[in-house]
Amino acid sequence: MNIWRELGIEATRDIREIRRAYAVRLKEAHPEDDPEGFERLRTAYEQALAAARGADGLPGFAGRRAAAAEVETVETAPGPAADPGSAADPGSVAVEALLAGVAEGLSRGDDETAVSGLGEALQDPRLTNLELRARFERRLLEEVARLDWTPEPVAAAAIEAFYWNEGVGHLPPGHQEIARGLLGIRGAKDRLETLRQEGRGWLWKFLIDQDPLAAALLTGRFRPRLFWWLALDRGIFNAVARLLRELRIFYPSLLERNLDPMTVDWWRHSVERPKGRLATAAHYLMSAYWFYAGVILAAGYGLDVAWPDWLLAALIMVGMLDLFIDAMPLVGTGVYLLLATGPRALTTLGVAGALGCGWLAVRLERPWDGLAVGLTFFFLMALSGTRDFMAFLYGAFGLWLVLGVLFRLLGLLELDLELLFLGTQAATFAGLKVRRLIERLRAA
Amino acid sequence: MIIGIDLGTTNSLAAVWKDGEARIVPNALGEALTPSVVGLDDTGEVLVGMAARERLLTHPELTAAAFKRQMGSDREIHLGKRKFRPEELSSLVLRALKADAEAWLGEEVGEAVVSVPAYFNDAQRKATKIAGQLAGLTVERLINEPTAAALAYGLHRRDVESKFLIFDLGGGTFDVSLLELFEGIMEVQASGGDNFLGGEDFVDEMVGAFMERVGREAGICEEDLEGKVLQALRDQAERAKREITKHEAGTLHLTWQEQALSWNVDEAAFAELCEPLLARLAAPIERALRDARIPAGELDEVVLVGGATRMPMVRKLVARMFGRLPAVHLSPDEAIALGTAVQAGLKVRDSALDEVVMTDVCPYTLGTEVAEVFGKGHVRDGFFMPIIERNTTIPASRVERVSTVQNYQSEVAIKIFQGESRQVQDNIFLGEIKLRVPPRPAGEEAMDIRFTYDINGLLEVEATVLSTERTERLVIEQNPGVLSPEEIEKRLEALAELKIHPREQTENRTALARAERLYEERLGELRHFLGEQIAQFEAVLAYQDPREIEEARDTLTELLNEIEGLPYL
Repeated sequence: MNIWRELGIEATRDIREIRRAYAVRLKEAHPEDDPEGFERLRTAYEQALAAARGADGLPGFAGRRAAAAEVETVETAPGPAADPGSAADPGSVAVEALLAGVAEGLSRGDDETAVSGLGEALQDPRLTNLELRARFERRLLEEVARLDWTPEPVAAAAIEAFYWNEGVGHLPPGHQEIARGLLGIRGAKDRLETLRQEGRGWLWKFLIDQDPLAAALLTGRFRPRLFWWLALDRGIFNAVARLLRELRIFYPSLLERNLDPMTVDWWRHSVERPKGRLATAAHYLMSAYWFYAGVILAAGYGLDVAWPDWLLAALIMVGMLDLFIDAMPLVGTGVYLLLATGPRALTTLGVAGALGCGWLAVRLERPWDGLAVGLTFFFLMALSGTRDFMAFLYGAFGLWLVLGVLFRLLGLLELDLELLFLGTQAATFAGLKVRRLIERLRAA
Repeated sequence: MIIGIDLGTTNSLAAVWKDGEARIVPNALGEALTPSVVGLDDTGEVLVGMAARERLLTHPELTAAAFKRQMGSDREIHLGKRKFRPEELSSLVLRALKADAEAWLGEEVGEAVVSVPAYFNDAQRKATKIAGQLAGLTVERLINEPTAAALAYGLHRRDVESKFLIFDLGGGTFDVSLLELFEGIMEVQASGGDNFLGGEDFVDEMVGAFMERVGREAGICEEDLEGKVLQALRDQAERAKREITKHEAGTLHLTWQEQALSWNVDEAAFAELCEPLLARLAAPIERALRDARIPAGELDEVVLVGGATRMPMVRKLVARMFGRLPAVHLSPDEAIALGTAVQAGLKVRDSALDEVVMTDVCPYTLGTEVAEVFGKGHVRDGFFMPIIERNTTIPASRVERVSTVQNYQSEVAIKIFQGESRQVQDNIFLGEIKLRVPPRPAGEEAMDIRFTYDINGLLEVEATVLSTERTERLVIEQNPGVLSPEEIEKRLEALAELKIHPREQTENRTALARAERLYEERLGELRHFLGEQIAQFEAVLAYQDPREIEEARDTLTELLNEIEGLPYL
């Protein structure tokens, strides 16, 4: 359909002319007698107006540069309050006074003060006036844009007060962008709540709770502009990167089935950008260090002190916990130190190696290297010639893990790694029980 | 002849387009406003209007008011032993207005334009249309109340380009509409509202405050607050509300177990009581302005419509919000009725209205429930997919294509909702279509859902399966708020059996009802005196001499006026 033919005029950007043409044609295509004709006319009219205003709906994701330029404008453009010559405008003075509480809270990073400041301002009779209210709304967005972090509680209160969830079309483009950013966080949070309720397994819940905002972003809908804006916040960016990594390790199926692939791809690519990669490498280094420390200590101080088996098993469990929690390198080191000083240093070395390689394999996302290291340790242990039952058991445990990772990588195993780990733990316990039984039988 | 009817929560009016202008039709008492109250007389005759309103105090169990608030629901209202649906009670009011118009015009009236709150939903609109049908009127058009008011307001300002806001606070509903006038076109840009916010709520606040401050001390419990006591108190609150508007203070009187209670309330205290209600007025206005993308400063005028906008606190609020005084060119009670008459004139293409075109919007979003698929085969349902966005200019027709989400499903249920929430559970359910589809793998069967929102604000839904070209139209299966055609027939028959109080007796009946109300309100000497007067008037009525009756009625009315002005004991 040619909109201009429908309107009966030449293509134009003159809104007045478009309206006049619409008015003329409306008398022929009367909404009462000719609903279809009216609809065609109305569609043409609305499109013509949109074209004339130069806003063909939402601009879509026109690239980060464009978005950056827009946010830049928001941050540097003089707001209505900063208009030259309006400094003495009583309205502006009132708005700035009302905003002071929020701004102070925001500048100190104090959510509580900011939220209560916002609440007070919204209750102020001066803000009953719709014009002042609209000004206040824009100024608040500008204040938020100035921050390099996201004031979630303030955002939630503002969304409630200004109905941003029902549309932000009334705001200037730059302000719209900021409001959408804030909205995205809340939308993602709601979704997160559902996911948490439906969540499968404690690990997932744990991951969510460790950094809800990151989880919200990663599990939310695809909103490139929002992501881009939030990724500027280093804290948020790193949290998402970490979560993404952890999901890839423990919940590959979740990544594939439950999350929006576009969202996941966006973050994956962002994380793998050079700067992101560097940060990732440092992160890996930090997390990997305890493992090496354990190995070296085990090799160096292989003292022959007798430890009861249950203590060893418990220590292994704590060591495994380490796999799930990044922040435990020191605990891990301690555990391995204890293991290494145990009676069977070489066995421990084998177990540590097998465990570590499996861990490396998935965490470094270089599976073949990880496998190679793991297999080396395994054969090292086998070649050490020990026929000790415990060593055999730990060896089997290591092999199991290696095979599990291998199968998973080859796509032969549809099992979550979490389950795999739990399985191995169970097997270890069972093995220990059986060994006790055999020993008792022998003694008998 | 098409008449225009403003079917209000508290009062209703009829108007006609006659000799190139809109005119209000006087009722049997010669007044413009007919209270939307329906009652049964002791003889079983139906009373409508002022007489029924008087009897609301003396015979609450036989009288019903504010039933507009129940339109579109399946709630039934008891009048004595009979049960009525809200649309039946509304039809009785419509019938009275129709009779008034016929008497005034001297011709048969068969069609009407009836106004409804802009924020009325599909079921409420359908119920209003059915009420017309039950009253023997073809409802040619349903028009949104603020739109009607805008027609009345904008009619004489057609030549100027302007933007204005209609603030319509009626007895039971609140509507706001933003309009733009250009090139002779009146275009509603956005509408919003609250279906449960009106003058009645302000009265309720006052009743509540009275109970808290005076009632409890006097030993009136919540349970006592029904029937006569409640109606008397509501009536007093209504009067006090009016007093406050006029004189900045008012008094509520209540006779309770032979003690006369009273409570003084002034403007400031009343406004404080109603703070939460006032706060609720702001949201729809802000929303409408946002949707229309019109900054408040660009408005040329704010027009107040509806009786409740007389309250100073409402005017003050509007003045504060917009930083200007609202316009009061029109009588707030009559604007909507006059607008419906203009619409009736437009309908018959009256030459005086040649160049006027009015376009309206759909004030809420309409859509269906959909399931969303995340990644591979993980389906979650309960999501709302908007098809017609709120504030779309109507008539409008939109199509969305959806596809199956389950493997080999043989039926698709399309559930229709109204509302703004992303989760359907928070929106209003309107109806459901069931559609058979050939069982094939998920996603391989698609269907088009077409929503058509007509000029009356009624929705039609049509779904077509692409592969079979099978089309289904909406059959509302689960909306108990809308009567089926068979039920309408049945109700019509039942209504036909009702005896309506003769219209020419209205004045007498009203005077008598009022006297009886005062009898119950007052104590001692005055009560005794009133009793005598009532007996006398009844005796005169029995003679059936028109002149004598008129004389007696005038005397009685004068007397009642005098008594009404006397202080309580």
